[in-house]
Amino acid sequence: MTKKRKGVKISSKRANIFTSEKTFAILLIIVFILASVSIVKAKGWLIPRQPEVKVDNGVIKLNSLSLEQKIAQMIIVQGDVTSRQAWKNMQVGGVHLFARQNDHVFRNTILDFQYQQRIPFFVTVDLEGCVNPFQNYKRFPAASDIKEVGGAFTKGFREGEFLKDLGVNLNFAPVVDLDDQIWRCRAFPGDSQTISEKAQAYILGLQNNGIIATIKHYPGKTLVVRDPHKFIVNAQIEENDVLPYRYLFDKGDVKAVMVSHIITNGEIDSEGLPSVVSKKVIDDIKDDFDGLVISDEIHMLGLKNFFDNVDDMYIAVFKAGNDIILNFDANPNEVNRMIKVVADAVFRNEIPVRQIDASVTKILEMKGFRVK
Amino acid sequence: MWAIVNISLALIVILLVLHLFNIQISPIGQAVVTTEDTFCVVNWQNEYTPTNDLNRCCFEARKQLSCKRNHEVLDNGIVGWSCQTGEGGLRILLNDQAYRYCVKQEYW
Repeated sequence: MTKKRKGVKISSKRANIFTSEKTFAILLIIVFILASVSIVKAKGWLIPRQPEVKVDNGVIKLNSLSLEQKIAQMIIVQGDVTSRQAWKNMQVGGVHLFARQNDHVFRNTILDFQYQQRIPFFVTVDLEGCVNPFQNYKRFPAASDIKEVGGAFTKGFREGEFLKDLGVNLNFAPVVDLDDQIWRCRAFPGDSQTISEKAQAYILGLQNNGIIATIKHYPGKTLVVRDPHKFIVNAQIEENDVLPYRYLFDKGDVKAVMVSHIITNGEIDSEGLPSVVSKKVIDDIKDDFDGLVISDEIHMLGLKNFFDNVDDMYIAVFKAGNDIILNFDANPNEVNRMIKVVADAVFRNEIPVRQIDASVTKILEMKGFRVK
Repeated sequence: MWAIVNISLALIVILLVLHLFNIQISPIGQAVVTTEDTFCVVNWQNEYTPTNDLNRCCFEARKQLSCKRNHEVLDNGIVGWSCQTGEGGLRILLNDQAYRYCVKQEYW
């Protein structure tokens, strides 16, 4: 009797262990599947691919692009290789490259991004002043070391040659701020007139090689020391601060300008808004300049803290009239969400569709297409 | 023993499902990172310039090839991290608090 009871006990214990093992195996498989799906989702691989754009002999019909495709063309993202497929699926306008290990890695990254793209990406870098993403294998003189106008042209030409050979087509340089109190090397030395002339020479050198130059950060005063606890910054803009921009717009060679997040008054009045979301500031630029207006990176607190939520900020940067928005969020799902938020705002007539069309036309023409 | 393992796995399954459907639980267990006691110094050649614009500092640090442990002592305090791309180039020096803040930014 006792033996029988013991036997029943042992076999029920075995059965329990068997059930526990089975449960463990099932749970482990579920964890594995869910973890894999989470990783795939986080990398943006679940973002659906936009339909291919029809390009006929270098001509693109604007109305063949969906609203989402148009908005995506207006965004430059961080060119992280792990999110490459997501950026390609979304057909964003450009990828920005931070420093990489060597020339080989840079070239391969650019080739991978541009492979089979009907509308090629803008490939952008910050090779400006003393900021050099190629510093570990290629050196250029800092802007602060450029004493003569001729030196500025040579700097622009050599950097242009180098970038063209690599496959970069848009450089966020030169900085034309007057007083570099922080970095000490990003701006050309001299007064506003000298800086303007050096910047013009640099632009000609760079653009002679087919690289688009970007003057920044409109309307100036971005390289000065700030109050430690204020991320939202006010600055008094003097005539001297804006002189380089007016000079360069007037010369008519520069193809892009980057707008800062600073709230300004004085010569340029952003009416209490960060410049980048001030329609007045951007409209004033567009009155004198028909090139690309590019926002500074939108995750700076100077801009973000101004809004109650991130969706309002997304809408505001588009609504103000920027042609290109820099959103370096490493999460492709969030960038995809931004596109949807802005598309909804266009459907609500909060952002005029003709404004989006004008910006996309400018972008596609700058990429070498004819737009109908 | 099996019960503990299986319950833990079941909890992981629940968390993964929540994550998959973008359901956020309030920041349990997440470190609170503030800008207090942070410092950032920009080093170009022999010039060391402290900057209060931590946000811009983080952004410039992110542009560099790598951030490595560093224990330089400056007037502002002990540096924890040095971010740079190559010898002779711009260096962004951050203390531990500043570095912790930087890596939490969307673009990092």
